[in-house]
Amino acid sequence: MRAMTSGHERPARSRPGAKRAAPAPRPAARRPPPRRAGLVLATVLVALAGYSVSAAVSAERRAVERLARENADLARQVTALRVELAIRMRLPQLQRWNDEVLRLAPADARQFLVRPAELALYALPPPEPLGPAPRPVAHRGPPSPGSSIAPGPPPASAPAPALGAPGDPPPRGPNPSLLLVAATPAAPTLAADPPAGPAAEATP
Amino acid sequence: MTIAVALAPELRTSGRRLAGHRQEALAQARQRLAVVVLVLVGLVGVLALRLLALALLEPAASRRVSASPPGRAEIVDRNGLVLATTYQAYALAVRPGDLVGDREELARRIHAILPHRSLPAIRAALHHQGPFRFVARRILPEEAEALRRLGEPGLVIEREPERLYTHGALAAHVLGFTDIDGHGAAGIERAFDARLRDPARRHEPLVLALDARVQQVLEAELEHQRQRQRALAAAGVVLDARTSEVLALASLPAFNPNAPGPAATQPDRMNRITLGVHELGSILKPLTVAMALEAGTLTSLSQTFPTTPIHLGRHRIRDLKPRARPLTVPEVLILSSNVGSARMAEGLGASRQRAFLSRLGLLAPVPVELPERGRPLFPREADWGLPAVMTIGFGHGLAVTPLHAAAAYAALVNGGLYRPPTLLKRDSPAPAQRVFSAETSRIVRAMLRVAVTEGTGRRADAPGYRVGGKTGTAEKPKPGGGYDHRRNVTSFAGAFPMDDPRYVVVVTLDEPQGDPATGGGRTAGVTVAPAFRNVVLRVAPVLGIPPDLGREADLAPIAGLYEPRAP
Repeated sequence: MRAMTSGHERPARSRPGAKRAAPAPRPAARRPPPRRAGLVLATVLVALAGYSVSAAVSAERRAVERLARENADLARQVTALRVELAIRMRLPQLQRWNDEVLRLAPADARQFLVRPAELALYALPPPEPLGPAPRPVAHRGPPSPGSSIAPGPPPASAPAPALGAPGDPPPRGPNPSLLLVAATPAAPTLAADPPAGPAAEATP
Repeated sequence: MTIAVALAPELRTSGRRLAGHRQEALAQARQRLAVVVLVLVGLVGVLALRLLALALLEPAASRRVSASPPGRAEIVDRNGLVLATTYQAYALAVRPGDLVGDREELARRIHAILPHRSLPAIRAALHHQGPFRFVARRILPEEAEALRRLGEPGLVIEREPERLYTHGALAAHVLGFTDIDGHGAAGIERAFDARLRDPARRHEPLVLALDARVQQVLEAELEHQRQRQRALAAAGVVLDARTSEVLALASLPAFNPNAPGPAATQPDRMNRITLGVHELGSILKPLTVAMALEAGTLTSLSQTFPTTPIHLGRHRIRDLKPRARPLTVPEVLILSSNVGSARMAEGLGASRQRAFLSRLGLLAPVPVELPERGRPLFPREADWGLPAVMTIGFGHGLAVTPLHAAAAYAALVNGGLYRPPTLLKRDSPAPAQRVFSAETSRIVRAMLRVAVTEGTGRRADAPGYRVGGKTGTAEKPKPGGGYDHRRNVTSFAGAFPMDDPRYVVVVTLDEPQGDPATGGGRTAGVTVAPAFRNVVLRVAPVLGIPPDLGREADLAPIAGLYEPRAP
C-alpha cells in the first residue's frame, strides 16, 4: 500500500545525478498486473472445464438412467408375458384339454422297446401272442420316437385297454417271435401283406 | 472476502474526499457483504453435504429406481416351473374428501365397470368418513383404464403387489396363500414368510421338491377316482424313497389360492396328508412284519400263525376272510391276516414296538416344513398293554397322517434308512437313521411285491413297473365310540420299481361309496388301488423309469412260502 501511495508524489530534487524518472504508472485498479489476469483466466478456464466435465457426466448419467428405466420397463413386460404364458399353459388346463379334446392315454409298457430288434415288430400285422398291439397315432408303420402316446379313452377311465384283466400274466423275457421277426427280411413280408389306407395308395 | 479485499485500495485512496459518515456506510456495507458471502458459502456447503449424504448414506435399494426386486420371492418346483409369483396389480381407492359430483351416479358408473363388486359396497366406500378407502383390489388393467377415464379426482388407481398362483389350485395345500397384506397365511407361504420377504433373498426363488407334472397327475387321478367312488375326499403323496423329498402332495377337495376365501380354512378342505390323522389299517402290517424280523422275534419266514380269532375282553380280532389253515409270514401279509399280524406284534412286545414306531417317526408330528401338521393319536405308555400292541400290529389304535406312512414306507423299502420328509429340494440326501437292516428291507420288498401280484392289491399292479404295496381299509370311529362299519377310509401304500425302489406313493379315499361298474365294493383293493396304478402308469415315464415287462423284483427270499393265486 505504501508503494502505491508514493506513486503520486514528485521525484526528490536532492538527487541531481539521478536519471529522469519514468512516467508515473497508472493506478493499480485501472491496470491490473499480468499475474492477476492470468489467475482470473486460469480460474475461468478451470471453471469452464469443470463445468463441461460436470455437464458431460450429468448427460451420461441421464442416459444411463433412461436406459435403466427402459430395461426395467422391458423386464416388467417380460415378467408379465411370462406370467401370462404360464397361466395359459397351466397344467390343470392342459389336463382339461387332454381329457375333453385330445383324449390321450398313458403310454403302454409294450410301447417301450428294450432292444432295437423289437422295432421290426411294427412292420408286421399284430402278432397273435402279444394281443392287440398299440398303433401309432396318425400313420401306420414304425413309430416315431415321439409317438409313444396312443390315442384312446381318457386315462382315468381306461388307461390302457391292452393291460386288461388283472389275471393276465405279463409276458416274461423276450418274445421268441421278435427274434424271428428281426432275422427275417422285411420286404417280402410287407409285399405279401400291403398295408391299406391313404399312405399305401400313395406309394407306387 | 475476495471482493472486500479488492475494494479496499479504492476506498483508501478516496478516503480523504469522503465524509466521515460515508466511510461508516461503506464499512457497514462491507460487513453486510461479508455476511452475505458467508451465507452463500454456507448454503453451498449445505447443498454439498446433502449431495454427499444422498450419494453415500442412502441405502442402495432406494436409489435403484429401475431394477427394484419383487416384494416377495417366487416359489418354483424342482424343475424351475413357477408356482407362485408376484405382479403389480391395480387397485381402486377413493379419497372421499376430493370427490366432486354426484356420488350415487359415480357408484353406479363404477359398478358398471366392476360388476363383481357389489353396489352397496361401492356406495359405502364413496360415503366413507375417513380420508382414504379401498373400493376394489386386484382389478384388471382395462378396468383401471376405464375408471381413470371417469375423470373423478377423488378416485385413486393404486399399484400394489399381488401374489399369483399360476397353476390355480395345483398344489394349493403345499403353497398355501397370502393374506390381503401380502403375508403368508398358510402352507409354504406361511412357513417361509420371512425367507420370501427377506430383501436380500427376494430375487432368488424358493425351490420346492415338488414336480408339478407329478403333482398334476396325482391330483387328476385322485379327482377321477373320488368322483367315480363318490368319496368325500381323496389325498395322496409321492415321495422319493431315497431322499424323502415330497414330489407331489394332494388333498382334495382343494381351494384356489388365488381367491382362497373362507372356504380354504374349512375342515373339509384341510390338508389330509399332513394334518388329518386317521387309522391307516392294514398298510401298517408290513411295518409289523419288518419290526418282528428286525427284532429277531420271527425266527423263520416259514413260521406259521393260526387264523383262529383272538378274544381280548369285549373285543375280538378276526380275519375278514379267514383261512382254515395256519399262514406263513409272507401269507400273513399277502392275505392281510389281522390275527397273524396281531400274533407277530404280541411276540414283539410293547416296548420294542413303541421304540420302532418312534424311530420311524410315527409317534410325533411329521417333521415337514408345513405349519399344518397333525399330532398322531396313540395310547399312553401306561395304557400300551397287550390289546394296544395287537391292534396296532394290524394298523388300528394308532392314527397317523398319510405322510407318516409314506416316510415309514420309504425306510421300509430303501434298505432301512429313515429320513424325515421334506418339501424343499435337496442337493444331497439328509442324514439318515437306520431302522431296519438291508436284509429285512429286501425280504419285505419281496412280500410287498407279492401282495400286489397275488394278494389284495392286484388292481394296483402297473405292468412293467414292478409295483409293490399294501392295501388298508379302516373303519371310521363313531362319535360316541366304536367303529362305523359303513364308513371307511381306504388307503394304498406302495413303491416302485420293487427291484430298486425309487418312489413311494400313498393314496387314500375318505368314505368311498363304491363304483357300481366295478361291483360296488368299498375295500381298498377296489376303491383306491386303481388310482395308485393310474398314477404309476403316468408318473413313471415322466420320472425316467422305463417299464420292462421282462424284469421282476427279487422274490427269492420268500420263494415257496406262499400259495400262488389260482388263475
